[in-house]
Amino acid sequence: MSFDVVGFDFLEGLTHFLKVFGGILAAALVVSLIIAFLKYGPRGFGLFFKTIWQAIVDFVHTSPRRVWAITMLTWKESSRKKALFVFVVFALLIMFAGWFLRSSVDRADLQLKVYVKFVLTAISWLTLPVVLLLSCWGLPTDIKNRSLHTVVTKPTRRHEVVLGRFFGFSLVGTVVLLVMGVIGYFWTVGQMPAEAKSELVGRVPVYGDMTYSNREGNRPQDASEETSGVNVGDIWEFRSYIEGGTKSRTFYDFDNLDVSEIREAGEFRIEYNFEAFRTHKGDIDKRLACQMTIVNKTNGLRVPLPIFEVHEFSNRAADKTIILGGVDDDGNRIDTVTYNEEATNELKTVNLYDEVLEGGDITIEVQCLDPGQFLGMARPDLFIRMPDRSFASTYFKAVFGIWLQMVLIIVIGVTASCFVKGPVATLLTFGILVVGTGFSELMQGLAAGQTEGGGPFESAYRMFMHLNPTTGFDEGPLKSVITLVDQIAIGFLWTVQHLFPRFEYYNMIPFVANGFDVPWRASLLPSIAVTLAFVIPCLILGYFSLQLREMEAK
Amino acid sequence: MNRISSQQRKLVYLIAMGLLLAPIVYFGAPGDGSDDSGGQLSQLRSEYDLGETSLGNVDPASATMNLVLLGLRGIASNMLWGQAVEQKDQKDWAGLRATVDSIVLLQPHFKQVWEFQGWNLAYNVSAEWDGVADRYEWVKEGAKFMIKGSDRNQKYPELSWETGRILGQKIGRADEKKYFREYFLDDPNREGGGPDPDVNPDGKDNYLAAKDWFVRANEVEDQPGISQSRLARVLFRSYPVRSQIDYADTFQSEGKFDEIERIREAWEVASTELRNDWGSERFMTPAGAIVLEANDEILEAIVKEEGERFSLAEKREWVNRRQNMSNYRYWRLRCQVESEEKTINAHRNLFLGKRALIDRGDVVEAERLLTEGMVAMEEILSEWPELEQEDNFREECLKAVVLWRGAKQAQGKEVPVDFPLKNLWGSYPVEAAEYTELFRTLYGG
Repeated sequence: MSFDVVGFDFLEGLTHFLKVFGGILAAALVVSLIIAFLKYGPRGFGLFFKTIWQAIVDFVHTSPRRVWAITMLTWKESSRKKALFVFVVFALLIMFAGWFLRSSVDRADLQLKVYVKFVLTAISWLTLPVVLLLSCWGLPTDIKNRSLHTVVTKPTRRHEVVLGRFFGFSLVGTVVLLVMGVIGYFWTVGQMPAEAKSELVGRVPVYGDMTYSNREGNRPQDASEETSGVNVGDIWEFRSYIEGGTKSRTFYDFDNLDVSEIREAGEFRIEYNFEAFRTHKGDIDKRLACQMTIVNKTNGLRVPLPIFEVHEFSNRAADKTIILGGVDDDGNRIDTVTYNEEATNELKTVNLYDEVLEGGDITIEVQCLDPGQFLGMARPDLFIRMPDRSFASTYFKAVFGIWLQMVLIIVIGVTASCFVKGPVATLLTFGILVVGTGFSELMQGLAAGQTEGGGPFESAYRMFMHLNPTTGFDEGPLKSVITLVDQIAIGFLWTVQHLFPRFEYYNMIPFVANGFDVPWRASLLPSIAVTLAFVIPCLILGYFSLQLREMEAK
Repeated sequence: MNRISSQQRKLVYLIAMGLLLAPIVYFGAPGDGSDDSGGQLSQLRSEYDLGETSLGNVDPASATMNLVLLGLRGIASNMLWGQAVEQKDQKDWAGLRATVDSIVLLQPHFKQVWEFQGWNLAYNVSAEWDGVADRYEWVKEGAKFMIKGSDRNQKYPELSWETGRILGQKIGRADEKKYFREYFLDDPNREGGGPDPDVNPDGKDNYLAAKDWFVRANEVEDQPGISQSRLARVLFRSYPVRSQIDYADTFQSEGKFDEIERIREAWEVASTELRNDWGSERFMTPAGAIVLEANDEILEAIVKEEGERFSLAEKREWVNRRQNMSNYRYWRLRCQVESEEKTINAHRNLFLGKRALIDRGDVVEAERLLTEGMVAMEEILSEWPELEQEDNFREECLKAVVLWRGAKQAQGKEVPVDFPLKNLWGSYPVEAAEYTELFRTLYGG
């Protein structure tokens, strides 16, 4: 499995958040003001500002002691509800998982995927439903049992109740997750066969920008210009192919490599994961032959590396890693690279760090040497492998990802339970979870107006007129009106889609399963940002909901 | 309202439980494996072969999974099937293998799951890999999967048959057969080499290992109440002997003539099994039972046995039909001819002659060996003229003539007007021209 890693721009995300949050807040304030005026007449203005002022005072006077008290209360309640019984299910799964998994794959190098996926998926599937139910039923049960009355009649502010619930359920979830995570870690490490233990690492990749040249060797001058290789008819269009025995190449551009870190590590590792496609049988007992050339963009040095055979689909890093530098048989550092110069075939030796990697800007050219055969690759298929992190660090980052997801569910669940009853809150939170996990792409497509057939009004018009979505729509006043109305509707959809968190960020299992470190910018940072982005608005919403809710109504 | 005390109520509950337990024990008591042991349900299960144990080996994981899922295993299997297809498209092989294992945990007695996914692994997934050793690994995965299926489902002859097909035909006839057959005896993916005990526990040739599975398929199919839906029965039952023939034939075509005795023995075994096993087996036809290795005496005995419900002429007619259907006479003749020492020697001379010409360019030696081989083939043809109709035999003879002519021309010699196999050469001018052209394309001249 491969996955494209795209960095997350925090500043852009923050700006986006402020826009959405600001927009919704402004709209909510305006609507509240109108309602206050309609309900209480001119007196409503006063009440409105008084409520806002009261909220500011409440938030400023937040008492950590009271929040802690509610947190502990929540912990006790959850323990009484036998939430920790989830451990029993987990223990059963772990005890018998060997039955289901051990014989799955005989190849030791493929077993990491199976074990990691099982453990982390089991942890998510066990913890998330438990915290979802706990958080959605906590407050409604308190209201029903009237135990909340004893709390709110004390000098406890409403947002402290909400915050205490957030923290309390998070504490329960954290304990559950921590225990399961630690057991799962030792179980995974213990289950891995001895010959595959070396795969238990967190590789740190540095990806480059990828371009192709055609069979005549023409490469786009502008790096931003999109290029692609040959489509060989694979159902999965992830990889593009270059033709062997021609001037077709793939270029991976790396800028600002940290040469000092590579020098300190004592070796320069290039890891690749190419796929072979044969148009004829060729020499069937030989794999496709390939070659890489490192080109230094600062000094123009070209270093062709030895020819290698492609070990496609192998999970053994040793099968698909080219190592320059390292140490010789006597343990001495090798800082040089020896190669045959392309034009003269003369044997040359250059310094790896001072010449080949000088300036940190390099291009790696890849070519297939077998005529008539094709070599497939995508952007994440070649990367510079920086010093590895430990398996424990990457594993627990993935557990942290599950924790962030859990906190988000708690926040949404508690907030929902502030204004609706338990079953409705459960459905609402579950709905948000489902839509955010499986339909975020569809929502984005709708909100971006990219779907064929236009927005809701244009679609309705097309249905009524029996117009195919691909059929052109005549220009004219009708089109202008429909487009305008659609834009308003799409604007509304654009706002609504942001109410559903993108849960895809939290899925860090593929990184761990494939032996990669969980990247900060592509996965951890957006996960933290999404969770934080929901905490503040949900706290405010929860506060006002409890403030305005009639506690006597069961 | 309620006049009985709590203690009395509990007592009533206890008595009710005891009463209810009696029919449960009567109906549901587990058996000890024998037919008339256990409760009523256990006996019925045993009578109708519905118990897990009567279907094959029980996998505790599978039974647990099905219990846990209650009635949702169909939905779960469908979802997993979709996932398996996606994983195959996205080349997530480890995931695919694990998903396939999960599917069979849910549907351990659904024959098509085993057949489809076993084939998928051995044929489709293996073809995706570039390295021959990797491809072999997946062929083996497919075979192991089928073996597991056969163990779990001892009443499906098709699964044993499919296992035999993977071991025999996939390993023995793929483009990579040269490597696969070697790997079957000395596995490159195994530490220390040697055969993989999961697929080849006895370290046999792949065709002989396949033969064992075909024999097992026939044994299963022999059991009362069991039938197969793969092939016409007369063909299905032929596979053990066909595998033996493949073994002998491949051994010969690979040029292992230093073990002539082994080749002869292999053909002799094939000949004996063909006549005594497959040929003597009774097959039902609209004219009652017949045997393929039939003469009037045998058929008359069957007619009498069946109370003369069918005439001898009807029997003869159906024997002829079934022999045509299964090519029986050809296989019988082939086994008979090939087990003769002179045929083996003729094959050896033609093989060595070809190698001398193509590999070493020794035209003189090639001409000598090819001439000897052609003379022997002509003698064989005169003894068994029906062999002329057999494609492989004819092809071997005509190609030998092409090579022989090539060896002559390379020495600057004229091709004589009269030469061995001249009649055959003249009778099939189109094929002769085709092989001559192929020789020119491959080797020039």
